Amino acid sequence: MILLRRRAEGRTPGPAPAPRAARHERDTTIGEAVTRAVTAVFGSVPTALLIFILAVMVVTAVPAILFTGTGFFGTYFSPGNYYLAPTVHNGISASHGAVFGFLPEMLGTLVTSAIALGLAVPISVGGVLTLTEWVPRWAQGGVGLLLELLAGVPSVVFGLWGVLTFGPFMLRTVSPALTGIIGGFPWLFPWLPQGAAWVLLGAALIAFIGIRASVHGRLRRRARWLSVIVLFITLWGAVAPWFTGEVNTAGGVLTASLVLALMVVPIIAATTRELVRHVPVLAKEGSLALGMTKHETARVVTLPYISTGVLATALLGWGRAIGETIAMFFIIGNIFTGIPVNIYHSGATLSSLIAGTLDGVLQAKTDVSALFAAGLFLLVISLLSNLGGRLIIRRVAGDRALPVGRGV
Amino acid sequence: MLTRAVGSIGVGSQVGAASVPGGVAVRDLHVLYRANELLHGVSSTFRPNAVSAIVGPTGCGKTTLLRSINRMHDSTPGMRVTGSVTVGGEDVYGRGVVVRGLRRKVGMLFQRANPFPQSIADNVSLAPLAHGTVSRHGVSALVEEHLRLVGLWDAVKDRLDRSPFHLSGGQQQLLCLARTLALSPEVLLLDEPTSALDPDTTEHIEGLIKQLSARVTVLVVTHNLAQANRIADDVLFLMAGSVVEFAPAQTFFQNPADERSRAYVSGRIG
Ligand SMILES: Nc1ncnc2c1ncn2[C@@H]1O[C@H](COP(=O)(O)OP(=O)(O)OP(=O)(O)O)[C@@H](O)[C@H]1O
Ligand SMILES: [Mg+2]
Repeated sequence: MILLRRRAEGRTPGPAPAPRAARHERDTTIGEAVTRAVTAVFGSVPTALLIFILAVMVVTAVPAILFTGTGFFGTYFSPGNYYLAPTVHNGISASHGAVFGFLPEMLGTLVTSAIALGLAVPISVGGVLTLTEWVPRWAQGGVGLLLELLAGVPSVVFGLWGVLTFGPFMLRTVSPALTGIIGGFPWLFPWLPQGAAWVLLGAALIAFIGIRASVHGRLRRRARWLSVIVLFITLWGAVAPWFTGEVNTAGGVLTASLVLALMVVPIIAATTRELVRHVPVLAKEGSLALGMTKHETARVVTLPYISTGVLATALLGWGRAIGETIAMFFIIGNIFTGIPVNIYHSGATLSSLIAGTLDGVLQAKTDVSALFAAGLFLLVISLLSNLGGRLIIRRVAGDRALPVGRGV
Repeated sequence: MLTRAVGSIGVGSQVGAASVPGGVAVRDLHVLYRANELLHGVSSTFRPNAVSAIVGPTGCGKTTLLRSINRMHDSTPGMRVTGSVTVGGEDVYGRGVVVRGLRRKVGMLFQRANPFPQSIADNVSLAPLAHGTVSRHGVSALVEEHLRLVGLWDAVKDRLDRSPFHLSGGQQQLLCLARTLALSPEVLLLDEPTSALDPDTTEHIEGLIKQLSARVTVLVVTHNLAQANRIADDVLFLMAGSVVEFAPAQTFFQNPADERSRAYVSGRIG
């Protein structure tokens, strides 16, 4: 580059050279054009596939959408009775008394995956950081292999274990203890009805984001702490009631979430391990040379370096958690009794609903169509969460950008 | 505690009469990477409160020598160090040495800038906070003082809470220097501190090094012989992992004892 510019500067102004560039001086060669064409074809395959799948699902879901309308956000699902006169609505005929409300399943999907990720991310990152510090180098390869093996355990095995071993354990031991402890503090927020908690939560979130964006300097740090505390309190106010009350099943939402977390941990941990290994030694040495401990170095250098990568991995794990079918089907099943009263109650997710219902409704076209609509919701949730995560990553990476291509 | 941390290296601050400077002595230092010997028995005594320049061709072991003094080789698997290094009379590799404390006393500036992925202000204050040499209230004064010291304050005072990776390479190096100085070290190991800086800034840093040497033992690696001539009291000339000559700067530049030094000074080697 520099060389080229020098040469250009050095040339004395004169008549323009004839436009007769040799083959190797042209910008594109035939080889390059071919490469570009091939890349374009292969590059567009994923997009085309996604559009195709979306189109098929939308087309198939249309009858159910016409039949139900906004009823999708109802709290009750029933395939209806085939032996009675069909119900007709908006020109679409469905089994007698068919109702397609997916709200419990949507919430089930979101809640189980959120709890799973909320546990899996700190566990994986903390575990990996501890590991890379405390386990000798030669043993770390073994741990990595173990993680990869764990990531490869079929989900049906997790499902079986969850429903036969882990579920009963939760029912007997963990859930009663939890509900006892959390339910034992009703005095914490007796004045806070659930609705108010959610409103407060929203306000706090807005304040949190607003403060982060507008206040700078030392004030900002203090304000940030304050908003974190407010956020925590409102979150707790909104969430705590769900952790109290009766425990009546081995396969509750909490059990399912924990098994999901277990399934996601190896995925996130394996990637986090790679991320940690690729943090530049020089960056860490800068901290060590100042007499900072390994722990301080992990906090000050390693964590910021891996944070965007961990977020991206968490998104992958989130996708897996949302789509996980067979284990969820085994554990929480598909009980259509509305929104679970608490986290220990059985419920359903969109994927467990589809898996559990399809076989019985294959004869009823509109029911199948409704399941496609459920699948569409699933797809939309995963696409939206993916996009949201990407936005977060871009924001994070925007300010505390990693030193890519900078430096001396 | 606070005043000591903030004041002891300040431009106008007084030299504490009680501060015991740490001279650095290296005896028969061998550094091996696996079967490969990088330093073949280096011995030198770096005078306290003086600037010693370490010069030599690329790959001769200058960085390796610096890193043995604050035990940075400890964390590189396959590196072995034998021989002795003392700082202020204390054996660096001795039993019961707290590496954390050693590195607080012996500050190091790396050949390439490596600021923390934290805000500019935090880059300066994190280590002093971790060592407890500054209180929360003293942080902003500490940050300002050391950024001023290296001449970076005016450039960054409006973006102290921003990422350092938006700074230029030279500015990042200055930030790293400020970060090292903020711990008030007794010994400074500088690995080509000015290689990324313009002449004016280089002059400022050279002045700073001279000033610091009033109470700090400075070892500075440089490829710039004119710079070594300007700032060094002593010069250590390394070639292929061995000491060729260690002499007062004047002697080294005007009347070196070794033929290879003569060649190096006149630009025929390296
Ligand atoms: N971590 C390491 N692993 C293996 N070899 C190393 C390592 N660090 C240094 N070396 C080797 O030690 C020798 C001296 O390296 P060193 O970095 O000390 O050179 P230097 O004098 O600082 O060179 P420069 O002027 O280029 O900075 C080189 O041959 C290098 O290959
Ligand atoms: Mg070097």
